[in-house]
Amino acid sequence: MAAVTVSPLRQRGEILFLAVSTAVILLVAAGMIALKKGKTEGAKHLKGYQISGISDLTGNNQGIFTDLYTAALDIEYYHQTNHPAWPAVTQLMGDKIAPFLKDELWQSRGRLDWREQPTGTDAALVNTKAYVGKSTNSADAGSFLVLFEHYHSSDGTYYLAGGKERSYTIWFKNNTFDLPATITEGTLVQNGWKEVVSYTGKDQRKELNR
Amino acid sequence: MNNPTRGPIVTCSNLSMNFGKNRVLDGIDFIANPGELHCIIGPNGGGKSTFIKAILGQMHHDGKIVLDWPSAPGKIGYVPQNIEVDKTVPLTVENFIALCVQDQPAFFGVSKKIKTEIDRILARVNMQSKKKLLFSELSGGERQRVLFAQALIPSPDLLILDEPMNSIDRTGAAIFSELIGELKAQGVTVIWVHHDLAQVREMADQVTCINREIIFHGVPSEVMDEKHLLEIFTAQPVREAL
Repeated sequence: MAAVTVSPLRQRGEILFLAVSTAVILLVAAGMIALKKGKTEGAKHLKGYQISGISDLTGNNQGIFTDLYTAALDIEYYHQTNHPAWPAVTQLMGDKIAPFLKDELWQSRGRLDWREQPTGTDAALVNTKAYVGKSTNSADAGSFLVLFEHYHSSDGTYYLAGGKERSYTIWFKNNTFDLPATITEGTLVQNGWKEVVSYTGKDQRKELNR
Repeated sequence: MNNPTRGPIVTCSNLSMNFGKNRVLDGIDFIANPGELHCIIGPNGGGKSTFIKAILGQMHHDGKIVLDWPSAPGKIGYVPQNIEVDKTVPLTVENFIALCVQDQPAFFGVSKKIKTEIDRILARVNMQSKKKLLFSELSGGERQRVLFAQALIPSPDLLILDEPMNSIDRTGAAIFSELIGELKAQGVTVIWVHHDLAQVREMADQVTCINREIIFHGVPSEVMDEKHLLEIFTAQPVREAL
């Protein structure tokens, strides 16, 4: 004979397992946060001529920067599909693309006066283009400039300048408006313009992995 | 040759159970012997299914439950009341039984040995032609047959059935009765929660009526009289049932 006593089902083991698992997950997460904490401030890796698009701009300027960042994608796409033409400012306004569109938001954000600007004549950078928006009310917002730089090879292939991840950079100048006669990154820096750096998720991951 | 006592003696002593502050079972003393069909009857909500789950070790209980096996502990077959399978789950009857009975993970498929067993047992419950159908597409009665079939692989020494006849037709009921009769003859201990009083009276060797506590127990012909049944099934047509 083999007598087997049926044990009452107890959940103590499951509860203990759940509690221990939760504690371990929380501890590991807390540890990871503590380890990465010092690396989350991407702005501290900025170069002298750069400012953060998140922490160094006022609300109005952040709005213009975000609009310009998005509009630059449209401009770049237009250029790629209509090479060698670039969209005129009037065309961008007609297509209701912010920050070129003169709407109520534009009124409250420094009333930027946008125009196309001749760029540098560097022989290697055969395709450059700049759009500059001069602030007419510096109390509300500063001036912005978006500079496109990329190559087109003889077979029409579009590629970026060495080491660059985007074909354009966005520049900011507060209070004064000193535009160099020839626009390159170097002359902009010399005239006190600051490159606005945005940290996307990809950028942030890159910063964390440094 | 069949062993006349291959099932265990199932003994419950002072079995009690609470759901929060509700006393569901109170001081149940119960015994079921090998080669015996022991039916559990009682009103809805009386604790029959809870009692069964306690025997299976699926509930927290107070008191003692002992399975006294004739030799080494044997196999326990369990037929639940019903089981819900989502209609989007592409589980055939064969897959379902395999999931219930085989140890290897389902994605390895059904082993040949189990397949043979499934074929044999599905034939016994007259469901062989439906083994490739989706389990979710079966009627209530057909599902009950499949649930019964899975409890018979491997052949159980203790068979516990929790109202498996709820939606079963006359043919299905006859198959159940025949198979249970065979198992009983082989010395299997059978505990069956049942609501068909006429069938209990006809088939059971022992009957226990539970309504939180034991109302009566004994040989059906002796204890299932009108007076007893009226006490617990006042809403049922007792005369017709008997």
